[in-house]
Amino acid sequence: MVKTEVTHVGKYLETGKISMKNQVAYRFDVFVRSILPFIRLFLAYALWKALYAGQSVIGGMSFEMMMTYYLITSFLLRLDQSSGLVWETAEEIREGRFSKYMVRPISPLGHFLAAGLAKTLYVLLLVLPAVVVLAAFMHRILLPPAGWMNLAGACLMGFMGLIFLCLLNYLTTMLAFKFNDITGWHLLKENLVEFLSGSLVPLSLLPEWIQEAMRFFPFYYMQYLPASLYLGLKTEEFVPGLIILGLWITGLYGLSVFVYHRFRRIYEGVGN
Amino acid sequence: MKTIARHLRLIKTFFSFRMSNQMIYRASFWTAFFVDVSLFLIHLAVFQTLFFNVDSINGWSKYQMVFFVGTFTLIDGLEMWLYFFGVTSIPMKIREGKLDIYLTKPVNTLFWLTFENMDIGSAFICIPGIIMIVTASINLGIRITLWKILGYILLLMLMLVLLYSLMLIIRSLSFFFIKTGALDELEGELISISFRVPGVVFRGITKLILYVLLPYALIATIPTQFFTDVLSGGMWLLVLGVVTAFVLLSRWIWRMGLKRYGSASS
Repeated sequence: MVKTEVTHVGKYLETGKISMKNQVAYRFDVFVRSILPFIRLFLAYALWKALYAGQSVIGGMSFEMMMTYYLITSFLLRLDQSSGLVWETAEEIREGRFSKYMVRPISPLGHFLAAGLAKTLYVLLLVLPAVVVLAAFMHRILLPPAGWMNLAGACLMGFMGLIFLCLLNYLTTMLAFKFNDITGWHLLKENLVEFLSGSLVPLSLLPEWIQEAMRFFPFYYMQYLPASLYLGLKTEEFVPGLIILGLWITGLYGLSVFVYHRFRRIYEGVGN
Repeated sequence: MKTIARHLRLIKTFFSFRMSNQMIYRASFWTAFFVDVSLFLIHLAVFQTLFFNVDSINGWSKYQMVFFVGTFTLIDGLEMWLYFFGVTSIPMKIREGKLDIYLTKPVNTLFWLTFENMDIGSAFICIPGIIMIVTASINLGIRITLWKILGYILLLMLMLVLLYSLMLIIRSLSFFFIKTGALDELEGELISISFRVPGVVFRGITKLILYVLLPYALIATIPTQFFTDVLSGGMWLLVLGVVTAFVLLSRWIWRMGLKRYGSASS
């Protein structure tokens, strides 16, 4: 008797493997993606060099700290690959092809998370060596981690931030059951996340009362805090940050499951 | 003349068609509008945050920077309205073989693709841009002449053409490499930096790259420099040269790509 059943975890691993294979198929894209960190750093250097002309510290950060901060936040931002899955899954819902997830012994949320994290792993494998080489060559303007604990804390917080973003993207996808076109919602979310997470400008440059308010929201802990921890700043916020982000992830997971079960009832599966 | 009139009529038809189409899905129309407004507010917040921490940027005063941001917003609104969604849909049409239907139409394929997805909602974003430009002009005490206005409009149009050519080059590469998502990201980075600081801050090799090879830094800087300061004859020549070169390059890559296009198997 041929064993056809796959284990519970195994089916999600398979999803991840397929997602990885799809990524590697496009070599030109892989090449450009691997040199992107270099280009980004060059652009950031040009921008901040101009802004630092005549002053040594901006928002409590030296030029070297700012460059390191920028490299870490843009690295973390690019690690999230679930954003691209929003377009694909929303199109499947719109065109009635989403039915396949409903009849397979696989949870749509689990599939989304597995595919998104596999893509993240692919980008990590591709970009991390480039970042390490870059950091070694540009050690005059890029700082090492303040300590191994700081690095570990930053990695953990960054990973949790990615999980949160994956869930948020899944929730955005679910809107496709309700609306014909979710492009606007998705772009709106992208814009807000980019600003609120501190990848455009460090949140320490904002007035203190805004920073205070942002501590209650998950975005503060997605990129700004990991980058700050790496630099040896805001270490006292690590534990509260883990708790707050953990609560947001739990809440968002529950909401995702609820919304899917609610919206699947209005799905006709015929496309439009 | 007859051809121009025909194409203008086509643009008018595309416009009416899109307008009625967008009005059917009003929620989508207004969402697009809110997205544009949010993007504008975020850019404004970034600008305000940066300026809150620095006094001037390479000799440019705060109101010159306001003018710069206003100009960028205006260009952004116009490109989103006119051709952004048309051009960005090209890779998908190449990949899925949907270009066939455009190639068989008795209209220039690129023209059709460019203007068929005009986004009327984005035009509203031009309003805050114009308000910023007027406010900055008043505060800078600029003497406004007809020459200044005409020169500014001419430069805006040249920059729209330049941005279009840059966008088209990236999307035309889909004929050769199928997936070009990383290039879209690179484009986003370049546009983002050219919005945050004026090109005048760049020096040496950086200036050469961002003014000539990847001329994103010219886009909002040049019209602003012309209106609020002085644009030398040399800079006019540089702008005309760069715009011409990129228009020709984009046309060439597009034609080469079309020759490679293998219909649904691309």
